[in-house]
Amino acid sequence: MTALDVADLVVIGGQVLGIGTGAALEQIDPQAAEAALAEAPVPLSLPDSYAAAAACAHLMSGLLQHPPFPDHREQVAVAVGLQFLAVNGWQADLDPPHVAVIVVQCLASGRIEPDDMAMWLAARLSAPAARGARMPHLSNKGSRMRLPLHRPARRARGGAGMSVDGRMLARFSDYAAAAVFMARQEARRLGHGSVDPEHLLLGLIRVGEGNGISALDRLGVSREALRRQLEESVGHGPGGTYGPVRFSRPRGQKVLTSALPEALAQGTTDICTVHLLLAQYHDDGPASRTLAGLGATEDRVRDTVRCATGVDLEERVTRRARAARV
Amino acid sequence: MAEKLTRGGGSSPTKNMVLRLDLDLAERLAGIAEVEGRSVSDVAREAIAALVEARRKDKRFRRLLEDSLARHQRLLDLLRGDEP
Repeated sequence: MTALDVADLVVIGGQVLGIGTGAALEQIDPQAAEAALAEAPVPLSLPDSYAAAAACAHLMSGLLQHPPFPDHREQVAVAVGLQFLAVNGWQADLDPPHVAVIVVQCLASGRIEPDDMAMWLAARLSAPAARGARMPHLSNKGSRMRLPLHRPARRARGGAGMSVDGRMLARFSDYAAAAVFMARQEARRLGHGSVDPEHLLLGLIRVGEGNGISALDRLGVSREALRRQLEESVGHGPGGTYGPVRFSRPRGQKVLTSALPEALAQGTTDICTVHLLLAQYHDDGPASRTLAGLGATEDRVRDTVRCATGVDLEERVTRRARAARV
Repeated sequence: MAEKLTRGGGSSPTKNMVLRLDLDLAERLAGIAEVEGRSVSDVAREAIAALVEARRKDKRFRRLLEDSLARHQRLLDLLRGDEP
């Protein structure tokens, strides 16, 4: 892994704040910088995008708690996090930016933990370029974080994607968790090897309960028409899928993890079916286009959700479910 | 850490810092200062400036940084409060 140190923060701060390294050296709080870097965990290995995202999220959390440039803490934390990923061969795509702002601000305020952010971030990482030689000034030896950020092993085609573990589902309402489960079943039923946004939407239909599907009902969207059009859009795969069916990369992962910022935007860290529905619009694919074609455009769904009172009910269900799972 | 930013007599501003160094590093710093007939502060300041300058001249580091910042300019603008 290539780790960052205080001198790197000076250069990054100088660049992102547009003040140059000289002024950045004058303005940086070196003690805060040291404290922020020291808070980053030191895992033994970072075998995949989640591990890289977790290291980045913890680094950003440290920088938000101990800002080396106190007047610009969020900007600098993001810039440093992006650079940390970049020097280790990872490229982040944090679009749409207004969603990333919500996630960063929630991390800054402590409303979400670094691990929560890591789940969101991991789905937005790619390793597009071959990692070149190590930065000459950065090495494992003597580095603060000493995290070996190795190129992730290329996974077998059928196994690519993200599993949804208990930690992630602990934030989901019962209906939302059921929709994720049913999404896998839908992918299997249609002979597909991974879960795409369309399968997740089919999962919401199969569950048939929750404020997400209720919002579609209020908009007059026919469940049957939606199901039929979704199935037509994705078609039937070759089948023969054995083993775990995971969320595809990048589409499935992006939509699944986009439910978190949708929840945060509504003032909760718990994920209901309506957040899974709103997350569909983070992907410009068959699912969101089919929804729009049936009258459930993003704006109309958001308006409907704002007017709905059923959100509280599902959140109460969520809290009970979370307590039970913990 | 104690630090103080001062501006005096037309020269560039300076900042007082207290650096916590391990004993070995502090002794080496003092040794260099003694041999070269300079103050420990002078040597430390030069070392820090050299370290930052080395980073600044690292082309790959700079390129990656500029690429990252350019791709996420709107996000950074939003975080700065430049956009509604």
